Amino acid sequence: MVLFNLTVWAEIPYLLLVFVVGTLGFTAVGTLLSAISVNTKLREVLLPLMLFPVILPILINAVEATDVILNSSDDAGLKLPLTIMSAFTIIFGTISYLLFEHVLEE
Amino acid sequence: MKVQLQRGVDILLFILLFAGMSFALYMALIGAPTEKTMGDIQRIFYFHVAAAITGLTAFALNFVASLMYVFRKNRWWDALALSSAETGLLFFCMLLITGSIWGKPVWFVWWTWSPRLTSAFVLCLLYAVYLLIRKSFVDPNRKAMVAAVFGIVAFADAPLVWFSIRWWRDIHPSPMLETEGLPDPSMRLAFYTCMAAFLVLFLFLLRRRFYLERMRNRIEWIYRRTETNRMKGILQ
Repeated sequence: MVLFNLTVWAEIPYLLLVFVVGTLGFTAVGTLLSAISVNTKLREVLLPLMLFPVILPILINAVEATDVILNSSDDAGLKLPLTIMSAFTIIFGTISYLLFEHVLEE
Repeated sequence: MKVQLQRGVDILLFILLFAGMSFALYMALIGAPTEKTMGDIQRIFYFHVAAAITGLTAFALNFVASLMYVFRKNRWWDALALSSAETGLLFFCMLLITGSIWGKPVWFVWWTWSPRLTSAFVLCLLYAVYLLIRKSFVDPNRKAMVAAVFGIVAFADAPLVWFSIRWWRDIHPSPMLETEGLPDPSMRLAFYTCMAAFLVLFLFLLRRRFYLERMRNRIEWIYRRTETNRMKGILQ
């Protein structure tokens, strides 16, 4: 009843994949942007303002992927959102890794 | 000599812009035939797509300039990044407005949350934030660095705008040139002239904004130097 009678158990590996990839992308770029905004006066406003539009592609595709996993019987629709999520996670991870030192050095 | 050359380029660009825009307006509004199903409202397409491609070009330029700033730490690149972001945002606002005007009679709504529209809106938002965060830093070098990093991160959304109508089923029309959506040669001519006119407009605005920013940097530098000299005088 808690999960609206969804059969979740069989889907948990897929869900875990979405969670892990999504969280990785989210944190990679989140860390970079918090390092940017931590020294500013407006940091409480600035961080969500910067972070939200940047992670929106990951967020929307994670929702889409979760929706496909829970609501549809065939997993063919999973390919596109998961690919885009992974691509963004890799891009954000690489960018953050390369730029982090430049952000912190001053 | 250098100043004269720049002035020459400015005048040339202005003449090109005037002639190109007049011709583009003529081609889009009179020269191209009326589209069969949509009627005259389709004519907004020429400006809409030209604004989109010009805007994306501007953001790509911002991305390159931001990368160069991170590696070279030269304020020249920062000024270029800022001016291209601002001009790009202008073109993207133009894109969203013309799109809405077209969408109302054709889709019967001003706005809908389809992948294309959402990603374009998010890109617009990202560069608005880019301009906003520049205001919240006092130290110019720190500001330039933060803006460059954000510019690099923000550009990740741009490919999504480009590919959204190719990857998803979208209410937004497919890319016209790739799907042979412009059968009439004068329609294609109108599209290409609009495209060229918008690119010239972009270059023109970019140069004006760039010189303004360079001048601001220079004034700031002079101001700081006199301030330092004054402090030295007081200390002595």
